[in-house]
Formats: sequence, C-alpha cells, structure tokens
Amino acid sequence: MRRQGLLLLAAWLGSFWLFAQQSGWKHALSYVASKNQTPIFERNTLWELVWQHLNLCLFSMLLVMIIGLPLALFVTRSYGKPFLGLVSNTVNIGQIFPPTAVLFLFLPIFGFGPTAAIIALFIYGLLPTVRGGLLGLSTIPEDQSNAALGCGMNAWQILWRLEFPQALPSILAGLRTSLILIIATATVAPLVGTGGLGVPIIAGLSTNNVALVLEGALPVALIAVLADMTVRWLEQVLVRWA
Amino acid sequence: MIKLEHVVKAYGEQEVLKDISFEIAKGELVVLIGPSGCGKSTLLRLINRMIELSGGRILIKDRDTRTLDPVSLRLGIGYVIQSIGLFSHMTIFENVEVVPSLLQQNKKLRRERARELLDMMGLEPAQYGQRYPKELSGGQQQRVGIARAIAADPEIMLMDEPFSAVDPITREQLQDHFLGLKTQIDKTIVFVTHDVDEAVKLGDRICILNQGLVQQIDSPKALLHKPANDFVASFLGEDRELKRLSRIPVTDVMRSGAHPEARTIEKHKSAKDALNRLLAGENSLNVIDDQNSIIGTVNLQDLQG
Repeated sequence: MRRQGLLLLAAWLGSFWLFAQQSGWKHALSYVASKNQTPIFERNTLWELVWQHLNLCLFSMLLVMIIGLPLALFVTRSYGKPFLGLVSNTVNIGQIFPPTAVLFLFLPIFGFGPTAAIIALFIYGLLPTVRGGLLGLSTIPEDQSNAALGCGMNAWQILWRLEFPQALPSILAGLRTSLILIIATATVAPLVGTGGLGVPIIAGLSTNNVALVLEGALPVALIAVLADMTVRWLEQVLVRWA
Repeated sequence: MIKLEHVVKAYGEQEVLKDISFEIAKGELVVLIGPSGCGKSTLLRLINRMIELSGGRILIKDRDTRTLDPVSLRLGIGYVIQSIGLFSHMTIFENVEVVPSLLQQNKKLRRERARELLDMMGLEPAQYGQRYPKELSGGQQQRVGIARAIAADPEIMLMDEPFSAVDPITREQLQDHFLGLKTQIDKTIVFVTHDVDEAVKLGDRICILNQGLVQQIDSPKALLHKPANDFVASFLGEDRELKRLSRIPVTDVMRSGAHPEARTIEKHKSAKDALNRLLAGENSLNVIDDQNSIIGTVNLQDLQG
C-alpha cells in the first residue's frame, strides 16, 4: 500500500512536469495539426490552463463536500428523516439536466465568470456524494448499532465511532465519482467565460483544430485517471477492515 | 441487585409483559426462558432501557432505572447479544476496549486489561488482538463479545441468547468456559435462552415466562422436580427428571455404607451417569473418591427423588 502511494505521488509529479513542457507539447502536437493551424493554444500556457482547471474543480469539490455530506447526515438522523425524499429527489434533478444547460441556467444569476461555473459544477457533482453518504449512513449493520447502544454509547459517539467509519467506504466511493464527474465536466466551463482545459478544446472544436482539442483533452484524461486512482488508494488505506 | 416490580410492557393494545415481579440477588445467574414471543428478550432490554417500561418499575441497587441517565446506566451493564455485534471496522483489541475507552480509561491499562481478558477467554492476544472480526470464527467472535461486555468490570451482565448462533460443539465449549469464568468474575447475570438444557446447565435460578407472566421461578433442581403447572412441565419436557439428575452429583443421592460386590463410580460423576450404569444391569454402585476409597453406595431407589 505504501508502495502504491509512492507510485501515485511519482505519477502526479511526472504529470505536472509534463504539463510544464510547453515547447515539448508544441512540437508533439505539430504532428497532428494541419499546416496553417497553430499546434498549441497561444494565449495561455498549458501550465496555466491546468491550474485554472484544478482551481475550478477544487472549489466546486469543496462545496460538494461541505454541503453534500452534512446533507446526507442530516436526512439520515431521526429529526431529518422527513426531508429524505425531498433531498434525494432534488439532487437527482441536478443531474437530469445536461451540464451545459445547468451552466446557462445560472448565467443570468451569477453572470459570466468562475462563480457561475463553480456553482454549476457543484450542483452537477452533488448527487454521487449525497447518494454515497445516504447509502453508507443508512446501511449500518443492525447488530452493531444495537451493540453500540447497549454498551453505552451516546448519539454522538455512535456517529463517530460506528456510523462514520462504517459509512466511509460508500462516502469515499461517492466522493470519487463526484470528483471525476467534476474534472470532466469542468471542460465546458469556458462557455460561461472561465478558463481551464476546456478553453483549447472549445477553441479547437470551433476551428476544426485537432491539436488544440488534444492539448486540452489529454491532460484532462490524465488528471481524471490519476484522481480516480488516488481516491481508490485512499479507500484502501482508510478501510483496511472491509 | 435487580428488582422488578409489576413490570408491564405493551406495544399498542398488546401486552407483551403483563405483571412481572421478582428479584435477582448479587452474584446470581438467573436464566429467562420461554417459548418465542414470551417476552424474555423484551424483559432483558427493559433492564438496560434499550426499550422503555409501560408500567411498574425496575430497581438496580435500589435505584429506579427511570431516574438514571440511560447512557450511564448502560455503561455500567455488560451486554452480550446473539448476533454478537462486534464492530467490524475495529480490531479485536479495539472492540474489547470500547467501554473502557468510552469511560476514558488510561490507554495502556485498558490494552493490558484487553490482553488479560482475551487470554481468559482462551484467545491468544498476540495472535488475535490486531485482527478484524471477520477473520475470526463465530465461536471466537462470541468469546470476544463476552470479553467486550466484561472489559469495564460491570457488576451486572445481560446476555441475550449469547451461544445460540454457534454450532452445538462450540456452544458446549463456550458454556463450559463460561461456567468456569462465572466463578472467577462474580457478576450478577441475567441470561436469556430458549434452550432448556442450557438453562439447567448454567442457571442458579430459572425463570419460566409464558404469555407475559412468570410461570415459575426456582432453582433448576426444584423446577425439574416440581413443575408448578402443566405448561412448565411440558415446556421442560418429558425427560425433566433425567435433566434434574444430570444437574446433581452422585454424592448427593448416595447412602453411606458399601455394597460388597458392586462396581465403582467416581464421585464427580452426575446422578444421571449413575442411573445410566444402573440401567445397564448393575444392582448397586459404590462411589469412590480420588484415592479410590469407597465413600458411599447408590442403587435405583436412591435416585427416586
């Protein structure tokens, strides 16, 4: 497990080193670009685009965690039970709309810029986290809840010593799905005027330039795969008992 | 130690327990037994307020349980359940240390105590302590369950069919182990079972419940010999005299003297063992002690209570 962790760290560092090789990318992408087209996005370096992208994802992911997990917790308590249906349906609706539609829905409220993009990504990424939290917190083995109550745990201790650790695998699985979804969906964020790896993709699509599309798509794919592997690794480290 | 006064538990219109009163002395093991649905588990869970009374009251050390905080009440009562309920995300050590850690006892001391208890339950601490529950067999898990219940040294233990989820051989081992343990730990124990043999084997007294009422509460011997009513008689089974004999040592039924031609039986055997030998064709048996000297004699008449 330790070895896997070190390998992952090396993979992240290697990827960032790769994203910093502006001239290398230009050279490589020139093989797929047609003669009169630019092989690489000129206004921002790839490095800048990657950081913009990661910032977008980070903030929306933080929102997902800060709001999604307590929400799941609230509706699985006895006093929050009446809201279970409401919450579960509302987060579903957030995902029924295509991400571009969600983006444009918030355009009139937040205007162009990162706020609209972050809110839209948050709404889009909320479902898996809430679902994971709900699943984990509502399927605590009954014999263990009974034992916890019987041996004298109060509600708070039952939550921290039993429910949260038992729900952790589901919670992490939910967070992982949300994270991947957000990383991928953030590529449409430039439609409402933010940066990120979607910028060269959209520019490339509108000018029929494969090189630009690849410049955005390859790093996104790489980051998504690495993020997925990292959270999976975390699941293994934190849930050794399963 | 525990006193039940006119205990009533009703779910809606249905009264599961109608009017239960009896007392459990300190250090005593009382078995609650009865057909399924008789309310024996309900009665157990009323004691540590896992469920609340509908009427009457329960006193623990002369204090009404309703006046006590349920969480601190439970911290002082060991609790073992049929489904064991070990925390699957905790190691065996952590499971055993749950109540001491809730009581914020010193970490080093409680680990020491956990080792001691695992050892006492016949589990090598170095081998099992760091494992997770799913890596243990059912019988081993229940041993951990019992260790967890006594870890904080509660005066009272509630055991809800603790041995019924394991195979018969393991169950017998656990019962024997538990009997040995019982003399060491000196606790007041309320034990629920549906197995008459288990009740006879473990109980100081047995409380037979049916239709929400105590049918009879007495020592196993008295109960088996003089059932109070037809229900108790049929519940204990047609072989209740045999069960009674299995509970009493042969030295309790022997007469003084010796029979000149009789074979011998060791003094630690039960009266049932003697009966078995007598039915096999012996007229009398001489009871011998560890030095092989005769201390008494027994024949079929002696066994007729």
